[in-house]
Amino acid sequence: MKTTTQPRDLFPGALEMMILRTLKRQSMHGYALAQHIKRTSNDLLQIEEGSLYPALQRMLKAGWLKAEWGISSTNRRVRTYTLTAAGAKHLQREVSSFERMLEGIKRVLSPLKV
Amino acid sequence: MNFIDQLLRRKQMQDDLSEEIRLHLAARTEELVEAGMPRAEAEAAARREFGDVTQIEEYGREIWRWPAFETVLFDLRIGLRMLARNRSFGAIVILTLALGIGANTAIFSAIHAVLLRPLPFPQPDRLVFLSEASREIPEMYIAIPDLADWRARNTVFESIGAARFDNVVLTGRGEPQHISARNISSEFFPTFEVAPLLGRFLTQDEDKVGAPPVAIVSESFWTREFARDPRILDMSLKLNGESFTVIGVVPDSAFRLIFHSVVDVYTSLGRRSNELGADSRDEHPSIYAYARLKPGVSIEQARTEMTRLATQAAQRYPQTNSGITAVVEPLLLNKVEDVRQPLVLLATAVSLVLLIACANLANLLTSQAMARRLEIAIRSTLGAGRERLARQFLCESVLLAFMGGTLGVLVAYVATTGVLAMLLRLPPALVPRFDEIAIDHSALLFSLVISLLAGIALGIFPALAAYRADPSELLKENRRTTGSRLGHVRIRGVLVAAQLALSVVLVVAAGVVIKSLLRALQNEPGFRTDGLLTASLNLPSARYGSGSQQDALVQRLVDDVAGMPGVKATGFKSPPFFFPYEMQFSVEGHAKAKPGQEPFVEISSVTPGVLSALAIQLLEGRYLTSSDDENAPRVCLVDDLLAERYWPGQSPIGKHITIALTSRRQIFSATIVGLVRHVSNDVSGGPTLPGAYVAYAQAPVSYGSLVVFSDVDPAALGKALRKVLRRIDPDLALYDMQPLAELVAERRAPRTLSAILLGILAAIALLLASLGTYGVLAYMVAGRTQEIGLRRALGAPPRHVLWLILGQGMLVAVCGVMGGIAISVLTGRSVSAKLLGVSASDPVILAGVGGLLLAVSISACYIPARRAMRLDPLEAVRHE
Repeated sequence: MKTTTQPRDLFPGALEMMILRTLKRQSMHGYALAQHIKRTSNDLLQIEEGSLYPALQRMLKAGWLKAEWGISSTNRRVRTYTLTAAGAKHLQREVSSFERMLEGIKRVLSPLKV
Repeated sequence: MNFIDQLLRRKQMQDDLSEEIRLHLAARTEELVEAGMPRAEAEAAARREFGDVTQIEEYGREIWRWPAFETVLFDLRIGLRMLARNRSFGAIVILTLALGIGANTAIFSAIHAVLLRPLPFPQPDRLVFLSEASREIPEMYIAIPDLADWRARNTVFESIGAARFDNVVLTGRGEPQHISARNISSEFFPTFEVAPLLGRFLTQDEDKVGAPPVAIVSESFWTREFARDPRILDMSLKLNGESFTVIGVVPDSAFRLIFHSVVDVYTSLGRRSNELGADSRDEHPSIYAYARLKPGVSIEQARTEMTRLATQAAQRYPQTNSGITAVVEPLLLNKVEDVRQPLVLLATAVSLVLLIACANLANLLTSQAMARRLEIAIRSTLGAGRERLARQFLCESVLLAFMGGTLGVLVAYVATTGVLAMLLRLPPALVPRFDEIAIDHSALLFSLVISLLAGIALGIFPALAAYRADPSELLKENRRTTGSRLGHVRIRGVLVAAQLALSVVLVVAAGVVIKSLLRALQNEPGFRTDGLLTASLNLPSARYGSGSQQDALVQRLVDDVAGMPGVKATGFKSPPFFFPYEMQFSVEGHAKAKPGQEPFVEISSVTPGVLSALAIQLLEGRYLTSSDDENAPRVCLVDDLLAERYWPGQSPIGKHITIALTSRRQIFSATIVGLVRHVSNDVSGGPTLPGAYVAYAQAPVSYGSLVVFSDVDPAALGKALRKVLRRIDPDLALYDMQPLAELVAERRAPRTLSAILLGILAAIALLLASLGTYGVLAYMVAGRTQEIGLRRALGAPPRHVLWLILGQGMLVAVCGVMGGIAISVLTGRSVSAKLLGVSASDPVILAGVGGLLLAVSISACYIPARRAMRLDPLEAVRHE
């Protein structure tokens, strides 16, 4: 089966983690979410804005997010994404496993410093 | 979100996504425009930042798909495309399956309708058929006192109903007409647990001697004669000159099957018991019994009980009952017995055809998969997962199977209607329940399921091959040599050999049946049929009770008919054709057999004209003449079969023979005055008893057939005959009027039909097997093109190449054919007994069929072999 291409600089699941993390703080619509991730990563991560949307669809399907059409503060029609309980749980699991992985990588790399 | 929900909301989700992307782009453009960028530039920039809109939409959409289902659809599309590209392959596969499945559905529909569908009565499996039997006659009518004993003493039956065939002329309603009638006991209808449509059935009092004459009519008679007028009750019907009051109407339901014909009228059996021999255990007056087992009683228990009763009777009445046993049979089984064997034979044949078809398909699909190894390799290097590839192969073969199955359903419809059309022309008595055949939905479903299973099974091999294949190996492998890889050729060779073996078995079986049929057809019945018209006549006992009354009428009728213009010979013969009287007899000078073990002879009571009308050949002595009358010494003719048995090498003329006419009390002792050629009463080719002829004047019978040899058109003659009879007795009717040739053809029809069907199946098998052989060899030659070119270039003579290829094919063919012959011989022993005297291991048939299949496979080998021989060496070496 065809697989969705991930941005090359990210490890699998990174984009999803960022989205979940961002939405945990507050619900956002797609455009704002794209701008926010771009901004907070200081454009260090080369994400095509578009690749956000398939990720959002996937997460909607997994039940981590809910989406609702509404009107934005700038009076535009937007679709606002909200984290669900399942999404929060998933984020927690992902973060802890990510941290474990990071820990592991650090240990492998650290002997140079010791 | 559940599955269906997703499926329903999918469109919405996709639309939402597109809308969202559009809004995203618009927002970004706006922002850039506000920052001072020209609109066109801003739009382009927004798009650039966003990425490939179409692709992203596609990715987003894919997430909402139902993946398994949609890839299957996709695979099906590919499958269809492959089929379109490879039409002849697809056509062969689909046709092969269609023939296999269609034939199977048709035959199994017939089997279900005829053999398996229960009788339309409440708890039909408790209904049994009762008869008596002696050593020689497996199914004999029941003597009335025996039946009474069974009723009084048995502990296994809820009730026992009895029915007797009756000949009835209906008068007072236009032309006198012969109608189909039965005498029944009062228990008869209650045993079947049917309810009258109108009125009531017989009471016990009406089932006794001296009871008032009442009748029950069948639904079809009521419809035909009275247009379903309810006032039929209490009307009276004049049957054989006596007035019967109609008391009820009974539904036809399955009584047509029970009696092998549509019955018009039922009258009381008990009323006639005196005249039929109520106290005689000697006479077996056309009575069979139909009983209902008590709940929970098994057929074995019933058999044990009835054997006990028959043994008691034999001890108590050794003169009449020794050697007489009671037979209990499931009713349905008894009624469909005759067609059981041909149907089971056909079912076996179609199953073989399906097997052959499957072997063929496995072969075709395997070679297809081998041929596509490269394609598989390329696709898997391009990233197709193995599972994905395997699934696609499965999908393709299931698609093929399904198309084959659908076409098969069509074939089944055509075949069933065709067979039905043939069968409906036969008299219903010969083919019970064939009118009930229709495409059976469970058989249809079964065939479709089988076709899908076949598809899956057939897809598994290529799918596994694809799954196991290592793409890099495949790509490295020289494409031109893949075809001849030994393992695959061997598998395909085995498949072809198996096909050939199965075809041999089938063609041998067909050959055996066809041979026995041909023999029956060649075996002229021994009497003339052209220009002969027969019509049955029944003389009711009320007015023709005595032999001299019967003889007087018959003599007058025969004399009058003989005087008609165009009539060359005529006579009266009892029994009618194909309803042989089988009587016990003893021969002077030979030890008298023990009771119950006397030999049987087929006896005919004839007026002198019958033998010349039928042109029965006189070998010695004289024919019967009109001077062999009531007052003359008793004489008879015997046939060569009987003479050969008792006086081998001697003349039977002047010897004495004693025949038990109708019962052992009516002994007929006669001097043999003539020897005639044996006449087969079973024109379908079965074994027959020896025959003897007595003079009608000396042994009159109340019913028989008028036989007329003339050059007059049968329809005109029939009219004239009826007129003649009406002048003699207006209350009599000729019935079953038919040219004799037609009657003979009808008797042969079931055998002819099964021979034709088997022949068709054998032809299909032969076709499939030769296709298989051809396919394997053609494929092999194609695979070895380069090698052959090389051989030729190195100087191998073309003949050599021809033999190389032929030899390879012949090895497979010989193995298959020998295997098939071995199977035929091994299974033949059990089959041959059932096939009317023709041995299934008949060496002529075995050799012929073996030769035929070898010849077919040689020609299937020859085309590819010749192609190989004619290859231009240069081109072949270059061949890609």
